[in-house]
Amino acid sequence: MIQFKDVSKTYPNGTKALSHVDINIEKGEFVFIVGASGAGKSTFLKLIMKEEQPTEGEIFVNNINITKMKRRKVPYLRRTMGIVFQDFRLIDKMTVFDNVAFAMRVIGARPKAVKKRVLYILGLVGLKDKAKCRPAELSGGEQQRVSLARALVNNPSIIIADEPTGNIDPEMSFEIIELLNEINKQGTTIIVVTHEHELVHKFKNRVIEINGGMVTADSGMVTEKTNVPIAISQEDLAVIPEEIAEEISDVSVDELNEEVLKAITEGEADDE
Amino acid sequence: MRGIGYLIKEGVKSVWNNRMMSLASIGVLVSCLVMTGLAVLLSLNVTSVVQSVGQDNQVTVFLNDDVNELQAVMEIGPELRKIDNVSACEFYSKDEAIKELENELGNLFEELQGDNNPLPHAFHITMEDLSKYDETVKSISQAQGVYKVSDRSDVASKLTSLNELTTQIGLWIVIVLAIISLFIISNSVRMTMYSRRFEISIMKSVGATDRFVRVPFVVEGQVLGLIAGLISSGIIVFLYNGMIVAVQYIIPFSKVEYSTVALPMTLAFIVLGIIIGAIGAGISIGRYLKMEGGEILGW
Repeated sequence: MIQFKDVSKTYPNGTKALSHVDINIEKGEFVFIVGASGAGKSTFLKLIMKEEQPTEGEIFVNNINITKMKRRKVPYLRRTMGIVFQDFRLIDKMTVFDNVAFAMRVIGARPKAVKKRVLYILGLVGLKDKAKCRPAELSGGEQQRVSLARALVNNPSIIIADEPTGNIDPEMSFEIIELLNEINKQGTTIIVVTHEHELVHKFKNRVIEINGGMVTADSGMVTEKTNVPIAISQEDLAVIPEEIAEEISDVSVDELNEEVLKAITEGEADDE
Repeated sequence: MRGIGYLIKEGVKSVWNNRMMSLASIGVLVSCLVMTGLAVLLSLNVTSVVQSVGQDNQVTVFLNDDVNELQAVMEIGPELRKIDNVSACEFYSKDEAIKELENELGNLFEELQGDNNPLPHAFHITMEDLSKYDETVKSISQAQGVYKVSDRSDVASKLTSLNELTTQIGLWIVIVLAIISLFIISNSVRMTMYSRRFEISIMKSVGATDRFVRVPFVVEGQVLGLIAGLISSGIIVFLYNGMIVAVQYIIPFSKVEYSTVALPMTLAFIVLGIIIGAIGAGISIGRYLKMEGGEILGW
């Protein structure tokens, strides 16, 4: 899905951001990119998004060599990605709905499709009831969820999150990564850049460490996740109405999760 | 191009959202367009005067001061009529001339009546064939008692050079004002872009094509240009009519009626306004389109 082949990047001012980096991220993986400030993490993301051009080496996204990609084709590459920023980058004067819809409108989506899809995605991130609110009326965690909804709305195959938990409290940070994990379960490749090692250790995902512009550690692809946060927790079950709780009382949490994900996938398919 | 309606709406909304800057831009653009229009109208009027003078086949023959009315009518008149190509020769006494001046310019000439009249007697001569203009004028000049032939070819040649001069000045005014207008519009749109830099960075990150990023800003520039064009079309009617009346009061001439040029003038204002608006916005957005991510936000 994403392949870096001997990639180096030196900025015009002489700063060496990446040096001979080889990384291979498969479709459907969830990868944390960690490293100290100035280690080259952001450059790594900019190269994937083709905001920067490598000085050496080649980068492949969806088997396409983006190093040689023409400028006019870059927007189409970016449509396969959803970006989540540390500072949310929400437009204050727009409602939550419009902020998410904006990403669809500017690539020419039909108004009817925009309305249906945005409400569906807002439901997915748990903000359907806040659709008419302005970003300033939301908490940091909620704002980041709007940002995540905007990244998701065009149905990208890759989500790139640049320090998505940098501006929110630890509890909310956990929630955001949980949400990303859920999205990952549907097959979306997730790349999260963070410097919060503690948060990374709570999840059993692949971790790539970049330091001094080089890959200093790579936990490798995770094939089985035993500590993946669940879509419906025991606490959630406690608030489910009795008649439904009775119906599902003998169903395991794992089975429930599968059902939920199936419903989500079907909902998305209907939406398309 | 789907979604274009949304972008156009955004562009129009932006004019209102940045209304102070829009107002300033429209004001400057209106001034530029009106001045351009006046330069064009001046040039049209000079051209019209030159053409009317050039087409006039009448010359005025002034007689020597010592020639009296009787001599002029009885001797010089018949001589002039004999000249080849002269179709009509009408006597124009100095009393008539001073009266006409008095009628046009008021009592200034009251004391110059009778013996104090400094004007000479004259003849208005009409020619049959304008192609023989120069030789006919030469023959008239050589006739007895003729002081000077005031043929209008001098005036025509002066007016022709004036016409060329006004056309050239007009052209430069148009060029300079167009550059100023472009600068003003591009600055106005640049301010909008600065205030909407987040939107631009998001548009680019979600994969909006350059064309889609450009549309709202170009529309904003065009709307500013359109409004300025319409306002200018209205202002110039009053300004031109007022100015022409004032000039005609001093120098009577056959003016170009605004109604005859109103349609092309209005269309030109609107088209020019829209083009300047679009180019001005295009110049500004071009810079942003080359930027990526944090650069757009000034980081």
